[in-house]
Amino acid sequence: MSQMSYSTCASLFAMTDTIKSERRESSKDRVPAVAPGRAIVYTRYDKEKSVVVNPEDFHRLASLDNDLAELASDRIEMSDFALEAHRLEGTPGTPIEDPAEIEALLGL
Amino acid sequence: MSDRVPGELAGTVRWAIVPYTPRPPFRIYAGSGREPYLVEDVAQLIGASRKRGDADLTYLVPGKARPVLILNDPPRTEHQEVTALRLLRFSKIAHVVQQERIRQQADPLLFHLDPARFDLPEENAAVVSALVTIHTDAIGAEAPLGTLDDTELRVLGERIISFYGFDTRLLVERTIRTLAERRRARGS
Repeated sequence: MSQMSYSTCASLFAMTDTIKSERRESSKDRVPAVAPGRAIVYTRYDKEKSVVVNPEDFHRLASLDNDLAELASDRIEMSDFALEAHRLEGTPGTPIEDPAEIEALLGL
Repeated sequence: MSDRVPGELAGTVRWAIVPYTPRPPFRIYAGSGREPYLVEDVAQLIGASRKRGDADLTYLVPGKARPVLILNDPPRTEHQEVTALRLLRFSKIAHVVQQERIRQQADPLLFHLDPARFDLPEENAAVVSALVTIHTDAIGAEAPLGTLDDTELRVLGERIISFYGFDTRLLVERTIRTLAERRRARGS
């Protein structure tokens, strides 16, 4: 598998929309504290299951993610002039369907 | 004439009338009861058109009713053209190994459509290299046969940009700069 196909394939399963978080009392799940700039990666059968990060880091990443989502959704608006240009070049005129005219046109 | 609204088509699979890409020999309609003219040489047609100006001919192009994956909504109600991808039926893929690669999304040019989510006659994949333009009046009005979610559409968009070689360097650069400016302004 090429590098491109691997990364594309992986991103299909790994990527989500902007991060949606859920608040819980830490006493409920006994979550450890993590220093800024650090992360604890929990695994199960060698696969990554959960990651615990410092709240500051989390909010920084979530904010970056939101900004990126907002910028990525920018789309060029179709102006009236662009619309008219498309209409002018995208609408067929009356086609020549007379055999004599076609023959004359194409030199047949 | 239809009046599709944004949010209705992007990411949906629907039946549509889709022409094949025109190629020689070109068949030119010459009125009822007449055999169409066959023109092999594209230069002959271009030369005639340049000589005559805006001469429109009726080219007979084969097409068929088929499900397609629609990529975008009409940008305005007055502009009713959208882009779509043709689908590949799994019965046309001879090798089981190749079918499985597509199911695993391991072939970037064939985007697998989960048969549990798409009400198609058989399992299909959207063909990234088969981009077509369709007028919304040529799309069936029935409910979609299935819909991709935002994440899947994003991945598909990335594959399309990558395959067609659209150079997004300036877009990426502008996005990074805007992102940096926003964060500087916010002091983050």
